Amino acid sequence: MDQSLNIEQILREKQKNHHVTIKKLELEEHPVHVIYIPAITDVKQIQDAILLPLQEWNHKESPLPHAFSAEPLLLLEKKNDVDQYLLDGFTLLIEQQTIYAIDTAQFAYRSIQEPVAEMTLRGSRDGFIESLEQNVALLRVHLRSTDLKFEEFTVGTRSFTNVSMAYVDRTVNEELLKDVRARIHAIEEDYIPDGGVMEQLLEKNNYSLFPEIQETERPTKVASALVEGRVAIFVEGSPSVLLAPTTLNSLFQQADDYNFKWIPASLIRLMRFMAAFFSVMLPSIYISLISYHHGLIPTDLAISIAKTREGVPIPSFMEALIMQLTIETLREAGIRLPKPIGPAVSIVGAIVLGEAAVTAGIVSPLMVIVVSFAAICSFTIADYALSLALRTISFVMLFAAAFLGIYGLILAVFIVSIHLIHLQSFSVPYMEPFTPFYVKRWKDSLIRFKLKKGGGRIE
Amino acid sequence: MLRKIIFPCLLMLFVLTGCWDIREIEDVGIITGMGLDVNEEKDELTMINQYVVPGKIPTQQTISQQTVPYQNISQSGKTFFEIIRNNSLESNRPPNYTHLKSILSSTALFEKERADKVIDLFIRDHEFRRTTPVYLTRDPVPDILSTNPAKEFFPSIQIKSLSENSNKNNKNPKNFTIGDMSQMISEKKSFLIPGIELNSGKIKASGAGIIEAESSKYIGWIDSEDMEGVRYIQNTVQGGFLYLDEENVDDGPIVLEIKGSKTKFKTKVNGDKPEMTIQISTSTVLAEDWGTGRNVYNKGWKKGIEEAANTVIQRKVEHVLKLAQQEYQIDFLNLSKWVNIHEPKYWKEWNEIFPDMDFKVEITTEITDFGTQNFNTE
Repeated sequence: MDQSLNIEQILREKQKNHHVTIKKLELEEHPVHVIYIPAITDVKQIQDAILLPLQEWNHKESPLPHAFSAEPLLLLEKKNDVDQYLLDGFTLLIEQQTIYAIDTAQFAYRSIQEPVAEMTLRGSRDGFIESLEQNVALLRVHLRSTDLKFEEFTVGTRSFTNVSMAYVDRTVNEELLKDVRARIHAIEEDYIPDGGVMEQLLEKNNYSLFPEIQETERPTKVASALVEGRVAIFVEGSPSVLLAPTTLNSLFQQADDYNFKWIPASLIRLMRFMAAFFSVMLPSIYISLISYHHGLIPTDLAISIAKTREGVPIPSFMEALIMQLTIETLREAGIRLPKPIGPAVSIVGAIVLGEAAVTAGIVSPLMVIVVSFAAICSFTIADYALSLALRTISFVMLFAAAFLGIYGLILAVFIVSIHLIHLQSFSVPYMEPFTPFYVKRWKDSLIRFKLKKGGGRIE
Repeated sequence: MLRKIIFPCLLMLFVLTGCWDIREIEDVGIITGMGLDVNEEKDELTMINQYVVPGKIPTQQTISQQTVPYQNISQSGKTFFEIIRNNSLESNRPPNYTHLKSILSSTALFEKERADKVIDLFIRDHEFRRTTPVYLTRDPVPDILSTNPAKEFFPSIQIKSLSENSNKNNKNPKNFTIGDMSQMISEKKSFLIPGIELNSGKIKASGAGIIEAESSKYIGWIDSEDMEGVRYIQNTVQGGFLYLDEENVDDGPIVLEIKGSKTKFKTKVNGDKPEMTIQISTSTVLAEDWGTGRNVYNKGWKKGIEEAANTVIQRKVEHVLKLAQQEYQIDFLNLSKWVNIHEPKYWKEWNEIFPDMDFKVEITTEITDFGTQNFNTE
C-alpha cells in the first residue's frame, strides 16, 4: 500500500463515510480541512479549542501549530496513522500537504462499578471498565510506583485494538517480558472483541482445559499480581485484565483472603480447596461406591441407600448423568436470563424439578443431595474459567467411575494429575509450589500464612 | 514419541477392562447375619442367611411395624459354599457378605464338625471380613434370628450390639471375631466363643462356649456368672461393677463401679514345676451404698471395702481357674501365652502341666472416689 500521503485521496475516502465530518475553513484563500468523527469526539472541545483559534489565526504571520497553545499538535506522516488517529478520536487538521492531529477523544464508557463476577466482602470496590486509559488510571490509583511500566501494542489487522502490557520494573523476569511480547506480536487476528479472546490467542496449550492466563476485573488484584512479578495485559474495550503467568494456586486466591486475619482466612481457603475437590469428585465417588464397592459404605448407610434406590428405574450412573446435566443446564439458563428472571429459574429448577423427580421415583433423594452439594461446592470457585475446567473434568470422572469404580476414578485422577504437572504457563509450572516443591512458598498456597513474611514472587 | 505410547496405554486401561464387577446396590442382597446349624434328619449342614429387605424398613412417613424388614432363607447342603450358591434359587438378589455383622452357630454344629473346617470358607473367601464376630448358642438358631428387636431392625445386628456393651457389664463376653478364631486355631489353642440365648423371645448375651484345641470341637459351656472371672483373666475388664453383699462388708451391701483393671502374669519355676502369679489391680469408685452408718468422711472408711472387693474378685477368678483345671482340664483362657513368653521350655508339654499347675491370685482393689453426695454423715 502506498504509505505516502495523498491529501486528495484521503479527503475523497473520508467523504464516503457519513459519520466523518469534514469542515472546510476558507481562511483568506488558505483552506484548512478539519476532519473528525463526531460520535467519538468532544464536539464542544473542537469548537472551543480548534475552530475558534483557527478563526483568529493568521496564516501569514505564524505557522499553524502556533495557533494552538493548549493542545499539543502531532504531525502525521503515514496513511495508516491518519486512519488510526481518526479512529482514536483525534481531530485532523489538513493544511495544504501537512496533516496534524489533536486529541479530542471522548468515547462512550460506562462509569466505574463493582465487578459483578468477582465479589468480595472487604477491599476496594472499583472495577475495570472498557476504557484502556481509565483502566490504567485505576491501576495507578492502587499502584503508585515509578517502576510501573507500560508497553503499547496494536493488535488486530482490522480492529487495531490497543493492547497495553504492564509490569513492575526490576521485579519482573526479563524472559517473561520477552515471551509475552513475542506472543502478542504473533497474533494475526482480525478483531479482538475482549480479553477472553486475547487470552486464548496468547495461550500455548490449546487442548488443555485449564486457563493458562488469569483474568480479573479488580485493580487491586492486578496491582498485587504486578508486585509479585507477573505481567498484566490490558485490552482496549475489555474490562477483564489478563494476568500471566498463572498457577492453579493463584486461581484459588481471593482478595478477601488477605483482608482478613490469617487463621480464619486460611481455613476458608482450605475449605475452598476441599469444595473444589468435592465438586469434581463427589458424584463419581458416590457412583463408584454404590455400583461397585458396597462393602466400603457403613452398613446403616448402605441399607438406607438401598432403600432409596429401590424402585428407581435407571442405573445410578445414568441418574447422576441426568442430574449433572440438569444442573449445568440450569446454570447456563441462569446466566443467560435477564436478572429479574434468573432466580426464578433456579427456584423452579432446584425445588420443583428436584422434589418432583424424587417424588415421582425417577431419581433417588440421595443422588439429589450429592449432585446439588457438588454444585454448591463448585460455586466457591471464583475463577469462572477454572470452574468450567473442573466441571468438565467432573463429567470425565463420572464416566470413569461408572466404567471401573474406584479403580477407574484413580486412573482418571492420574491422568488429570499428569496433565496438570506437565502444564506450564509462560514457563512457570502450573502446580507450583506443590510440584516443583517449594515449601517456602506454601505460606501462600493451601493456607495463607501471616503477612510480612508471606509474599514473594514467581521466578 | 513417548506421548504417542503413553496415551494409548492409558486409554487401554479403561477400554480393555470394561465395566466388570458393576452391581448396583439395590440389586445386591445385603446380608447382615448368618446362622449355622446341623440338619439332624438329613445329616447335613444348615445355613440361614438374613437378607435385608430395604423396602420394608420403616421411614418417617410410613410407620408400619407389620412386617419385619428382613428375610431369613434357610437351606441345607453338604457344604456352605453350595448352600450360598443355592440361595440364588430362592432369592432374586444374590447374597453379598461385605456387611455381615454376626455369625451365629449352634453348639450342635461344633459338636458334630471340627471348628477349623466350619470356618474354612469364611477365612478363605475374600468377601467375608475377618472382623465379623462369631457367637454360639444352645437355643434354636432359626428362632433367635427371627426375633424382633425393639431398637434395631435386625436380630443379627442386635446380637453384635449386645457384645459391644462389654465395658458396662463383665458378664457380657467380649467380641470374638472370625480373625481371632482363625488365629487361635492356627496357634492350636482352646478358646471361648461368646454365647447367646433366647430369653422369652428376646436375645440375651449369656456365657460362652468352649472349643477344645485338639478335637477342635465344642466341649462345654461357661455360665454367665463365671464370665466375670474369665474377663479378669483375659485382661479385658474396662468397666462393669462389683457387688459386695452383707457377708462381705459391714454396714450393708455396696456396689463399686469399676473404672479400670489391669491383669499381669508372672511365671517362675519352682523346682521343676512352673508357677504362675496373676496380679489384678482394679480401680473403682463407690457407685451405690445400701448400708447405713458408713461415713465416707472418716479416714480409712474404704479399707474394709477394698479388702472385701479383693476377696470377691479372687473368689471369681479362682473359680474359673478351678473350672479350667479340674472340670475341663484344658486351658481355654490363653494362659499358655505367658508360659510361652516367660518359660518357653515348659510350653511344649503345656497340656500335661496345666491341670496341676499352681496359680496364685493377687488382687489390689483401690477406691478412688465416693461420688457427689453422701447421706451417712452426722
